[in-house]
Amino acid sequence: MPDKNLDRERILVCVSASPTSSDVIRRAAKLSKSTGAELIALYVEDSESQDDAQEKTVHGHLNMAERLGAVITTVYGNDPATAIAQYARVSGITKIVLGKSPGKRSFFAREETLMSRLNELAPDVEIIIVPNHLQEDARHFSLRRKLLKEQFTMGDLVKTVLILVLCTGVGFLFSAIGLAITNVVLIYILGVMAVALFTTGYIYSLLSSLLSVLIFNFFFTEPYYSLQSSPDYFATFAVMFAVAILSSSLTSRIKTQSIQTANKAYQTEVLLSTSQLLQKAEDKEAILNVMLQQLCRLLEHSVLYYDRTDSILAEQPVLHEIESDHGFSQVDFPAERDVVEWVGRNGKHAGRSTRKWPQARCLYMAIRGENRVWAVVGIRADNSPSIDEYRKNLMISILDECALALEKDHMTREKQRIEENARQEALRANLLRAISHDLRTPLTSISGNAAILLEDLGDLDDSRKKALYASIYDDAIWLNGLMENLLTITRTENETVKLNLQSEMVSDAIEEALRHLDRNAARRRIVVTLEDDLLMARMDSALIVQVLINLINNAVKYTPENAGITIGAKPEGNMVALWVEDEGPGIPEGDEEKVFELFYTGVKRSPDSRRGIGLGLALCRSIVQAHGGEIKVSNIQPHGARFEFTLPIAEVEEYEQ
Amino acid sequence: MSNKPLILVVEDDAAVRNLMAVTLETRGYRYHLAQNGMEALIEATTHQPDVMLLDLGLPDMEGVEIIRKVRGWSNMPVIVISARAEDSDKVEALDAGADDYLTKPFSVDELLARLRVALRRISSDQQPASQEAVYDNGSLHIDYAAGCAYIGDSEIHLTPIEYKLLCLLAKNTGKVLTHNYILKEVWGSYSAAEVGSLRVFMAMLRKKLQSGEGTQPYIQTHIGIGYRMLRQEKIPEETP
Repeated sequence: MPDKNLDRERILVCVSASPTSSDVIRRAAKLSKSTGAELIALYVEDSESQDDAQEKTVHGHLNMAERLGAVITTVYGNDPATAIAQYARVSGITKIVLGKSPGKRSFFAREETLMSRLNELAPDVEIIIVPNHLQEDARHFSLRRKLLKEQFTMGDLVKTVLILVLCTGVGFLFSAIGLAITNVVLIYILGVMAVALFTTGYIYSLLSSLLSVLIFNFFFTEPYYSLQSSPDYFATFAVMFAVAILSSSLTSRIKTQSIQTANKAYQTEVLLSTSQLLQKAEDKEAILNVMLQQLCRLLEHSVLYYDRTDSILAEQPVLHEIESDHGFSQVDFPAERDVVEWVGRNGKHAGRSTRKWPQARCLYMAIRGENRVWAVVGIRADNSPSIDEYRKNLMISILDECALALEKDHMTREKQRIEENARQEALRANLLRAISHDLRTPLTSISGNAAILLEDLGDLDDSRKKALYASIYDDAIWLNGLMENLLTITRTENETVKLNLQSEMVSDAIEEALRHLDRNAARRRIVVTLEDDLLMARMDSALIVQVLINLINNAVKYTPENAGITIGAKPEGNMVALWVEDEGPGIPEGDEEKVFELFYTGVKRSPDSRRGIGLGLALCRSIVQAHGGEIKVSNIQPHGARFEFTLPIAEVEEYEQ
Repeated sequence: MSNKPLILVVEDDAAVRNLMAVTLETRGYRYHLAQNGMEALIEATTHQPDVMLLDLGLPDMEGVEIIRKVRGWSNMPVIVISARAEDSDKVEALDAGADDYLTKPFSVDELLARLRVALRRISSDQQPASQEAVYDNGSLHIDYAAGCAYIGDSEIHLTPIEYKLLCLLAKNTGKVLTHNYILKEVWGSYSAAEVGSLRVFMAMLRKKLQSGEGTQPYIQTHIGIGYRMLRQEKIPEETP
């Protein structure tokens, strides 16, 4: 588990309908106040119907918890221990507060199991038991519930009767061929075991045990065909009944265990494959899709989800329908929007088979993270058999797993964003430092030269004066070039400004760039070679002109006077390649990539290195890349550098000719 | 004295205003100065300057608004000066009726060159007789009545759209026409696809108008903004 919230303790208090619950909540609130911990009141709602009085009590307890400063959460599950443990795991709970009532043994025992199971399921969490002196009638609830659970089905009854009839038939056969009566007893015991194996619920085993004793008495003991019998047989009956009961209960236990084992294996497999798939999923959408697929596989119902980002629910759901349910996409989703909104806001389930909006077509459940709802999942439940408890629990596990994955994904992203921000900050700080240095140098020269000229009393001769004027002029022009680049950088960094892409004549762009060169450029031989005068490219002209200016000025900077600079362009497939070649020393081996990095300056060995902070080429690269092109540099023979970049070609249909 | 052109300089920054004043004075222009939009409008109405140099970033009024007001009663050339590098500002000013633009920082030479272009436009505007039937610019000659264009003595073969473009530029010689304006005038509509074909037509037209090595092109491209027909410095007969 990620050790989030280490800085603050989180206390979980379990709320129930029991009257002792309010006391437990108060104790927990006190504890949280004294330690400054966050308090969460958890109510485990199960699928079984509760009467109104109980519901009211729970509601009252939850309200009280809220007044005492607790965050209210409800989870669903029939096994409170698992539900509590799972929630504690997901939301980084450090302490769990439970109520305990002494005096009643059975209830006490149940509490013990909840506690020990919690200990087992969430070993890292400290469990605090609040003793309580109130008597309570929880036992009645549990008994009544157990009885309610047993249900008669016609099929099982028929099976029981058939098996007993078969036993009776075999019994008659045995007595006809003169086998001992004890064999018949064994046949009935076998029958009772078969009943236990083929039916569900103790009631049939009990029934068949009783019936087999009676039938045995009726058909096979003297006097035949009457329920009267000699006292000798009472022992036989008693032993037979006891053996039947015992063996049937053993059989049904084995059966239950084997079913449980199979279920557990299936559950493990589903959860394992889910978590494997979730780990592979790269973003929120992928995670939610994995969840949807797994749910669909598990439940065999059509499912959907609504994404929920920053408390805003997606307009449209993402659907995953099973083959037999093609009408799913025709469901009137907007009609159930209210339900989905409610689930998103409250993080509770609603819709079909719940008390909120039971007429809805889907059962809606929230995928909850620590303090937000990531998405709302809907399971179509109006046209298919309802989901059994076992699957429901598994489904909740999948949703929890999914919430966990989303939380993790979110945190990774957040971390990346923070790192990216830090990197940007560092870059900005670097830039600022470099700029202030580069501004100060020419400004010093400008103000210094101007001061000399101002204070001149006629000592300076004309050529000296002219040199000073020229220096002021050059520095001012240079500052302006730096400013242009900086402005362009802010423009390209500001993502809201989109490139103003137009089909432009490449020759126009080159011509425009040549108009804005340094004064020094005039002393170079600049040649433009264009294969096709009408070559056009998609570009933001202002930015591409800036790229060309930077490249040409760069060439001017590294070439001696009277050296040649060649500018050219030609089509290359669906791109246009433009290049600037100079006759300078070229690029040092291994620096071909580095020259485009911010603050790279290749002039360290030159004494005239004050100019240039390595802004120009880095800017060129980001502009060209923003256009979908590439920029690279290579050395040419006999010496010199060739900068080449590409832009998407523009095809223009002509209306005439 | 009075035939020296009168220039109205509208600029709120004292240093730049001073720079322009000194430049104009040394080149023998007469000038008036205005610091803001209100002053500019008053000066423009009272003194009827030949050319207005207008800074777009005035404290009291949008430069574009001043252009619209001036255009309400005068056709005087307006050259806008802007520190903003964004093309859209320039295009907006040009569409409002400005003739030309300069981006700060500009050189003194550039300013003077633009002034000369603007003043030539006035002088050619003042010859209405020749404007009707024919157009002459350097060795370029357009016979509107016949619908033909010539470089020197040889006719240049133009497609209908190229001819329309040429006439439009010729009628606005010295003025920067925005893409938007040209498309509206020639195609009657504006769409991004047509901007591309406008580039092609212009490139073709420029090629056909090339009169020889070393000469200035008649049509100047302002990338991202538009095109302009330049009046050639001297007609060939006068060149030695």
